[in-house]
Amino acid sequence: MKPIAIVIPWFGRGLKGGAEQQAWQIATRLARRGFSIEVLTTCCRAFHEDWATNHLKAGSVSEDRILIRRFPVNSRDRSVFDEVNSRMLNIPHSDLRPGVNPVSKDESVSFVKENINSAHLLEYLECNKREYQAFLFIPYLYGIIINGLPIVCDHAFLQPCLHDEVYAYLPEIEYIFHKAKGVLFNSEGELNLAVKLYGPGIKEKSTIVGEGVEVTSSGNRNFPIRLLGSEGLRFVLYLGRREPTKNVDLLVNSYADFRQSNSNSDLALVLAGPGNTSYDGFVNGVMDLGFIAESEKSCLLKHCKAVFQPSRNESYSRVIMEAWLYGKPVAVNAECLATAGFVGRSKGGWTAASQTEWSNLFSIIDSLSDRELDECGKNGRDFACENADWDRVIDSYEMIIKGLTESKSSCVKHRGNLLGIHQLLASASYGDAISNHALDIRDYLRERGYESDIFAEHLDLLMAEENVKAFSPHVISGKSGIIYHHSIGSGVTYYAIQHSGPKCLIYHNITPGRFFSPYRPDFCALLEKGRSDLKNLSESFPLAVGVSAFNEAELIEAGFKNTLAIHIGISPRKWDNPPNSGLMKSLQDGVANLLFVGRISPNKCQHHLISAFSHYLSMDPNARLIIIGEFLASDPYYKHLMNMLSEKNLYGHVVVPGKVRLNELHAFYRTADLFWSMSEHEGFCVPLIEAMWFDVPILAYNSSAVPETLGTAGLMFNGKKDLISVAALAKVIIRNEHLKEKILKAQRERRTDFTPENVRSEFDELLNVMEGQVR
Amino acid sequence: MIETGNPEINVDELMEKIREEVRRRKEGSEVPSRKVFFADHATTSPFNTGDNLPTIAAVGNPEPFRTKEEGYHINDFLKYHDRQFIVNAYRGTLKREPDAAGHEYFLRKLRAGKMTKAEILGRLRYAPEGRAAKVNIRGLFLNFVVQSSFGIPVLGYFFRLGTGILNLPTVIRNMQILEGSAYILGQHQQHELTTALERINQKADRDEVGRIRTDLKAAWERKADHDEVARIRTDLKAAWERKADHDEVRNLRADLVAALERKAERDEVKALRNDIQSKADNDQIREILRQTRDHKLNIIDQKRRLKLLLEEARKRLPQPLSSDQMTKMVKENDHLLDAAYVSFEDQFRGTREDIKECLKVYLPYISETAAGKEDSPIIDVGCGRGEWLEVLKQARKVARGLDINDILVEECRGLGLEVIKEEAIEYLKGLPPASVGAVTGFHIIEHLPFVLLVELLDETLRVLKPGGISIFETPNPENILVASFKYYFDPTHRNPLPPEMIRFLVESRGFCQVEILRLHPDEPTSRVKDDGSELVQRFNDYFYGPQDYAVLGYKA
Repeated sequence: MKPIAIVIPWFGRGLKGGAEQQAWQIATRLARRGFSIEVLTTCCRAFHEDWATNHLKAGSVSEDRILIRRFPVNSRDRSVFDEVNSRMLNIPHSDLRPGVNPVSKDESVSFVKENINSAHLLEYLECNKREYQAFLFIPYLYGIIINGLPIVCDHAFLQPCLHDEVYAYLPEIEYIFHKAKGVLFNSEGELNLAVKLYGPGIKEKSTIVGEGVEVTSSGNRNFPIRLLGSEGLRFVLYLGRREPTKNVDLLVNSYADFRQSNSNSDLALVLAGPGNTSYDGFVNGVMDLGFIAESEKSCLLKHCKAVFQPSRNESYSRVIMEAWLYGKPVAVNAECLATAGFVGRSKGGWTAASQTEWSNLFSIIDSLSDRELDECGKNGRDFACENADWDRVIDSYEMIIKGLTESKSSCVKHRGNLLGIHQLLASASYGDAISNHALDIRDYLRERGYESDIFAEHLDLLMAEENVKAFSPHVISGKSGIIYHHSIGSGVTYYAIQHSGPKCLIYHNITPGRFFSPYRPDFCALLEKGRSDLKNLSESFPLAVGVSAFNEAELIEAGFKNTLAIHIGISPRKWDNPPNSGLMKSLQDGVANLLFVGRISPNKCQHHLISAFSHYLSMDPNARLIIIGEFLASDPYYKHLMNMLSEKNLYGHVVVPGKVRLNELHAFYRTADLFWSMSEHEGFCVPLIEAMWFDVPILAYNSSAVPETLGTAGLMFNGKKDLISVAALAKVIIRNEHLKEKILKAQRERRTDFTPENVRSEFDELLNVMEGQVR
Repeated sequence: MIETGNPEINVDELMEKIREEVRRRKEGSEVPSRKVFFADHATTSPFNTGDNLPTIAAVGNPEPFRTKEEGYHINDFLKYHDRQFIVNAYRGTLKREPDAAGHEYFLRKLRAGKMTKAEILGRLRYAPEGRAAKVNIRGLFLNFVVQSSFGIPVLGYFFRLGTGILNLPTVIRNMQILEGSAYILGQHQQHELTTALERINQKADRDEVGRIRTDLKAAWERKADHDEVARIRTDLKAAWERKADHDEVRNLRADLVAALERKAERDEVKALRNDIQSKADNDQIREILRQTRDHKLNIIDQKRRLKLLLEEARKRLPQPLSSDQMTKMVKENDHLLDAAYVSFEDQFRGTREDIKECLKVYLPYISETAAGKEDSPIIDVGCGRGEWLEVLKQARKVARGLDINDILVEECRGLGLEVIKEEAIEYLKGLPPASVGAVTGFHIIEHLPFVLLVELLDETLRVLKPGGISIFETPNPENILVASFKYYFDPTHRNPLPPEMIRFLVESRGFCQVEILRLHPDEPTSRVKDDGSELVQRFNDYFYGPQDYAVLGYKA
């Protein structure tokens, strides 16, 4: 196997810092398991050194079975960088919005350009990208990572060590998350943060590898009198960089509050770690020890009452794992997804957000007995032993690396009687649900080793680029199987009927004409004809498939003898691209976004949506309704909707942008507070599943295939008579976090039922039946 | 009311929350207005949803146009007309005076009804120069998109239908305004015409004619030999009375003419007559007459549609349409562009006389067959303005035209030609087999989808009597200017049809003695001067060769 390369700005055994430590551990432990590991790094010594000085010699050295290649750093304009950096750090956290550059384009470019960079390292990556099995980039925010990852993106894994801080919002950072082949996270909280910042598109390529933590059992275990002055001091410990970005100010201030109201308490706050600010004596009872040795750290951990970690920017926080391994309870920032997640799962401590909550925690520690504290700490220790074990962590790396080599060689090929299975459809147009489905089926069939093409009577340019072919008679051999996608009748129907080889019909449902009769009687007739044609087809197709049980029921009613229900597979992978940044900015203006996605069409009942929304505004004026979907400006139904908007004076509150591009739809989903459907006829309704992937709570009218698609995840309503109550329900879902969380929890489970992997077994059944049709 | 399979959600509790929200709801509270979301997202919003369609200001004297820095509403432009509109459009959208070419171009399009005002504004605003000027014109985009989309095949039909219905009130109002303005325009033109005629009379009376008269009179008086004339007259009378043979009469007539010629100084008179004619602003009158005719046709058509629309409007709106109302309006929609197409033909196909002259080339072919008798009539498919029917009528052939353009049909009938308003293929299908002497179609087949073309040929062959002829003329794409450029003057053309392809097709459908007749090469003056070189020869052949061809085929 080719070597694995770890790319990191600084590398060395003794380096402090989470990412540096982690890189060292991963590199050495993987090397010990027999992998060939190289580290590509710079000649700069450490984070706190000058980033333009080459302290170390360029070239390669071997250390602990690892080959370390060092490359000289570029010169840089430090003043420009410092200026941008300080501007970024001064932006209040509450002003940061996912998908929106917190600074100007020029500034973010300067941030990357004047960061730590190495042209030599980039050149090496360019020339040697094929020499490595994979590249692991750690951590996310430095120049060599941002510039280097795209060069080898096909083999690049990013281990971001992501924090909820201003840098994470830069578009250059978002770009590398989407570019990477895989992303490795230290904790579930860190993954959730990444999804919040970059969308669900990165989910499928993400793995939570965890991080190992070890504590040395040897060394001096006596009380550190030298440091703390008196034996038996009761203290809460903070370990880490002592600076405002880590929220140490908050901690010290809340301790001051605690002291003010509990002047008799002897509970002290001890701070230790690197950093330039000293808090010593800032408040009576605060002891700032500054930088301490590793052995002294163990001592402090052993004798403290609890460890407080107020930072909201932690991807993992080794400190809390260490505290737990010493059997000590911890308190963490409720707003830090990573650490709060650990505490929630382990029950090994508390969370706090505001200064008052933090000072209350000091009172709690002060009042609890040692036994109670130990019990809490024990919960934490159990959790840490289970999760912070290096062997388990390295196991997951090994699995990822093995997966790389396997996926290239193993692919389950079919060996049935059929050589080819092709698809026939009336029209293929970009973004349309039937066409997307056909593309998915084609890819799967090809993966299974079948010859497979899509033939359409009409196709647009974008579909031609997807290699969809124009249909002409005799292009399909009589021996091949065909899958015919039925919609309103077309020229290809005849050929599908005539086809002598194995075949099946997929029914995407035809909207009943009655919805259109007030608006487009001509179209209504066409639809009704399409539905009645279905009956005539039942004799010609030995197998018919509905994309939902609802559709399958219609097929049975139309007289088809042999039917199946095969759901449409929906993967969040297609959203692995940045959303439209302009929209991300304007949609995150504090106004609630109520979203519906679907063609502007009478059966989708956008007119009910507008009526209900006008009631909604009377309860919650801070909202806008977004109705996305293709329309013709001449369509009477569209005009009807426009007239409604003007009658109800809703312009400015309702956005009807028409058919939107993928990156725009991405932005609309990302910023939506509610997906609200009034539709009365859906054959499956893909947007419901998409909304689930974006964690948008769904409120839908109970009709056609909607309950089947939503499963237990849905919140539906049965009547449309009382639209005021429906609107009130919408408001409760949007404004009541508790209810919203319950809905989202169920949606997160439901969406996985429709991943392409999970619907494949349904599709395999179809293939079996078709193979069986071969004479 | 609520339906959920989620066990964690307590429906009763939720219902209570809903009732509480409804109770707290401010009944009838005014919805606060908000800035249109897409104001600064022009790229994402295909339609500015904020504006209704504009109304056209009443004809009169709108206040003078003022340029504004903060932007305009489309109505700021629409209230002006003709030249003033074009100048304002330039000032507003491009912040400059119009250039001569642009001014001329848009004015012509506007006057010919080929572009609406919104379309012109749109073209200016969304051209690169206009985009650079970035002038904000509210209400323009929607109008521009909708109105320029009328020309898109199929889609355009829906666009027209949709906007037609929903803008009915505006349309009606605009039509009334239009009618008013057309009336004023008509009066204005009549006034012009009268003035022009007066001017001619005055001028003629005043100088030239007066002088001629005097001269003539003098000449007569001075030179005319009363005796001689009297003698001739007497001789003539005598000769007639004597029933003199023709020769004598002819001699006498020649004498008379010679005498008159000699005496009346004929050349001078001719020169003077030319003089008068040139002074009569003949061209202007013809142009005015043509425009008046266009306007008349347009107004007749608008009136008819207005009547229909008003009927519908009285019945309903803003409720959705019932299906029979819809069908009625859909049918009317097919003829929405009839008037425009007539003006179009007038502009591009050439004058009636020119066309008739060209068509005469086919008369010998017709005459060779038995076509044109009462029992073997000639059917002209898509007869248009009826030039060919007129040629046939003059040649005493029995002929019948088919067309579906309401206006053209009326026009032909006005000329006393027999025209049936029916779809050609449908009509032919209704005829018994072997009942027709000839089927002709000039500049028709290039408008048909291929399947219909085949159907037309098949039906033609069926209805023709043995020995009957079919003639179809179409633009000749062998001429490169035709194939690449002139062909597209007519937006309803489909693809050009190469002669050899059509020959093959006609043969393959069963016609015999199929012949291709290449016609109408360009004016010799437009050809590159022939210096004997092969290059010039070929160039002239390719670029100025026959512009049309006809395919002739017979039924065996």
